[in-house]
Amino acid sequence: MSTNNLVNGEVIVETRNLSKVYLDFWGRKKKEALRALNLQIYRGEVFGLLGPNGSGKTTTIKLLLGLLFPTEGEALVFGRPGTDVAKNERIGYLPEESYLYRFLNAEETLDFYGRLFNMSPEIRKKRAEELIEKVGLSRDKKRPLREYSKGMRQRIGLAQALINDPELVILDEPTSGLDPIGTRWMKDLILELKAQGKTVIMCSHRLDDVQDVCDRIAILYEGELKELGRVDELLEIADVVEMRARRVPLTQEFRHDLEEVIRRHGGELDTVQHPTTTLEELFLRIVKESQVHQGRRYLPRTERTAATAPSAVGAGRTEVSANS
Amino acid sequence: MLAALVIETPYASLEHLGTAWNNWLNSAGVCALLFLLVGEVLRRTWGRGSLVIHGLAGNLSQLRPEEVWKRRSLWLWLALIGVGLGVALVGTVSGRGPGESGGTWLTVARLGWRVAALAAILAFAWEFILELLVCRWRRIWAIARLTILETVRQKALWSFAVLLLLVLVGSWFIQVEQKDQWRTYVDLLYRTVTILMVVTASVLACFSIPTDIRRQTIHTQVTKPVRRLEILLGRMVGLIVLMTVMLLIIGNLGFLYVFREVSPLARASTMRSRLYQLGELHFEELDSEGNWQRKQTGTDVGDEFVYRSHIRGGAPQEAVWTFYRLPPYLFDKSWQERNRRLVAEFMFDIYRMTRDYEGGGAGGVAMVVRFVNPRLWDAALEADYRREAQELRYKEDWDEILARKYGFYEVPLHIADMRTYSVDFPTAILERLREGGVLQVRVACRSFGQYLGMGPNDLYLVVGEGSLYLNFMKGLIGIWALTVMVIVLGTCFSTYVNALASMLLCWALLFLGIPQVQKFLGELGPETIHRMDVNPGGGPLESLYRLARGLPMATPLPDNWGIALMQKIDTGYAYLFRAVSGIVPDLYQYDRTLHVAEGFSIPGGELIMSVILLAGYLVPYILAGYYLLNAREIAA
Ligand SMILES: Nc1ncnc2c1ncn2[C@@H]1O[C@H](COP(=O)(O)OP(=O)(O)O)[C@@H](O)[C@H]1O
Ligand SMILES: [Mg+2]
Repeated sequence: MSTNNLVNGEVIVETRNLSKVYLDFWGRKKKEALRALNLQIYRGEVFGLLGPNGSGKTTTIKLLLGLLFPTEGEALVFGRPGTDVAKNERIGYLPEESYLYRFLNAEETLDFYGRLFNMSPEIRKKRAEELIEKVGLSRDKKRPLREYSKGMRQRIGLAQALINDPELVILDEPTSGLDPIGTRWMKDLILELKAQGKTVIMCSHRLDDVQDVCDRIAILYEGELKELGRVDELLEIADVVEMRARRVPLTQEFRHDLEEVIRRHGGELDTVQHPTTTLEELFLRIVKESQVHQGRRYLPRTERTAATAPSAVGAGRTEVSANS
Repeated sequence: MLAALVIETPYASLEHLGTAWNNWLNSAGVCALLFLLVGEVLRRTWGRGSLVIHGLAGNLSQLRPEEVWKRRSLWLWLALIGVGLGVALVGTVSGRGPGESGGTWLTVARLGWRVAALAAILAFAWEFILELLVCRWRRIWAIARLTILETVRQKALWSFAVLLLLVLVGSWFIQVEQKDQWRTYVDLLYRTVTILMVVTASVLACFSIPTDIRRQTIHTQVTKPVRRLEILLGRMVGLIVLMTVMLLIIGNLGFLYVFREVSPLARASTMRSRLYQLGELHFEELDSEGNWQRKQTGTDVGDEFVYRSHIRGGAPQEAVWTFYRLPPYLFDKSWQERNRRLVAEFMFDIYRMTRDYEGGGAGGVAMVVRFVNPRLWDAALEADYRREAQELRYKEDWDEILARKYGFYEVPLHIADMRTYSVDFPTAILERLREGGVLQVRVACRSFGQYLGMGPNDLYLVVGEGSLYLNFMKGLIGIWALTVMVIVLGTCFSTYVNALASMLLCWALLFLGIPQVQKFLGELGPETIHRMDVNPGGGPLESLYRLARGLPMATPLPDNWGIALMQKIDTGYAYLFRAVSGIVPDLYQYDRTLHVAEGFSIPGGELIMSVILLAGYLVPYILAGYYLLNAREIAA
């Protein structure tokens, strides 16, 4: 999907000069949380709101959902103000914490939210079963939510957000507090939603998450919009070229040859090295292997001679980066 | 012997429906008009975002194009308010003038006002009404169900059960005479259950929405297509269902408990549910020309009790109860053959003029009760009656024959102060009433120097026996009504203020609603504000004036326009006070312990009326609760 396509796409969410000042009971100013925010979010994109804690991400989302009323400006979803109830038919929302009723179990939870969509009992039952399966809670569906771990709560929270098969999914810090498996699962799910043509708005202070799934991002700081654009464009370092090659020995000779080629094109060699994998990938691989070979455990180096050492992913791969 | 039924303040019955509706229309109409005015002023001066307007026009100001009619239709009500007020004004002004058309004009004015009041209420409630139309029962019930599950699973009700158990265990150690057992245990049970239900309901209601907001679980809820009205109603419905089930369980267990506690010997005489019939009381007095004159009150003995009026002993003065609406089965001949006698019960106050002659001596005060069908009976027939009575004495049913023929039956007796007596009379006297007419019960006092004091409800007929269990359950409806009231009030308050403040508000209203406080508040109304005997010192301004001037309370004030103005303002204040005191519930209407404990069947009409009054009382609160919840920033 090109930038052009997005710009011409249907606007799903729009904020115009949106500002929010928190007041206390007596109308005194507590905090100016959002200042003149202008955003347009288009159908089919994954949009990320990025910013440190307290930068106004949650505030923006709450304004869109009518949980807060704007102090100034407008927050429109499907062209309707936040306070319009009918628009919620097409929205799914996962709050920052999964604020669900802890005395209900997973099935009852989904049934309850299904009722709020005025769904008939058969449809509710079917949807609930599908979603519990999808978020992997089949074994725990009869346990009350108060016994759930953070990861499980996030899963049921996501299931409740998807109960109405929404066109727009709003996720507030969907990966916070999740382990790497959970995080990866959540990111895959977001990409799946995108593939289904849904619009996703997520906010996060975890840069890698945003980078992995978002088409466009807005960066907020102290309630002000600092940057807005496509992730790939924003992150591109235009004067650096990166290449990867397989099965080349990283010798001094190779380095010289490279240097010469690059110099001939007017650039200079920066680094030539084996890439490292991310800790996330290492972790995920270990977990996966453990599931296949149960009982394997970590041994100190001295004892490991017989065992096959887990080889680094990047072994035999060389990473090159050059400045032009 | 059971005590008599002492109802000094009548319970509202269905006959009062019209009056109640008019009162409601007046109060709610004034409030709605004020709110509309204040709202408009606020909108113009303060602009958007003000509380009232956000509530009132929160939804109506952001309509989809196809729904704009909802806002436009407001103009209809506003126009009607204008027309109604105009008519009322014209009617009042024209009605002032001399001439017999004044009455008609005033009727027109009243009609105009009612139209305006109704239109104001509709305008104020318009968004609410439209919202009600789109509410879905499935969503309301979902939230109600959630509320019930929440309460049950968090074991909030255990404390309730423990308290109840404590009270019941405690009651085992009470020693009660047989004749008082039923009364004592019913009283104890009702009071305990009332307090427990009201306390539990107020806690649950005041905490349910605030907890939802504090835990932020409501965020997931209101971002679904659920309306805030559905949330409000759902919470109420859930708690009402829950508390109703609890009341039914406790009520039935309680009934079993009381039944077992009452000694079998006392059951037949004390565990009763008598159907009673009240009459209308007036007084009659023989004037100097020998004619009976009808009067509203008897002799004033300067008693502190306004409720009772007195008749003088040995004087041609009688208290007359007329029974206009006897149940039709009484006139049925076959019923009369099966039930040869009916009972009248009464309890009078005795007032004596002379110190030495106390209460008529050991024998009590002599009096006579006469049952009369005024169509047949005439004082001139008395000689015939006495003669025939002499002749028929040997017959077993002489009194029935005579009662049927003359429409007259007489019982002389001696009574003591404030004790219940019951006299029976042949049902044969009712036979000719089928053709129309009424039954009168006439009471005269025969002891010189003694006065008998009576109020409208001091004498009544016992016309049958109802089901004891049913009556016990009917009594619980009073407690149920209170519980519902507390649930609705608590839930509505808690839409805007926090749980503890809601509880305080709830309890303050309940406190203001108890009969003693109500009586005190009633005395500040426009009728009595300037009465020296009720409010010595006058209204608020006048009292201040006296205080400032150092004038004693009874000193007459100078007669000038300043004082007159001051008193006018006090009167206006009293009217305002009356209107505002409509926000306080009248708890008296819901307490039926007396009936059940003393063995009287609670009239069904009064029960229905109390529920109607409850609904009328609560509707404005639900409206306010909805607007406040709608105006509330859930996440702020
Ligand atoms: N209910 C509230 N009352 C007062 N201040 C608030 C409230 N909610 C958030 N804030 C403040 O507003 C700012 C933005 O908060 P938020 O939108 O939650 O940030 P983020 O989600 O980006 O971490 C913060 O400084 C926070 O302290
Ligand atoms: Mg946040």
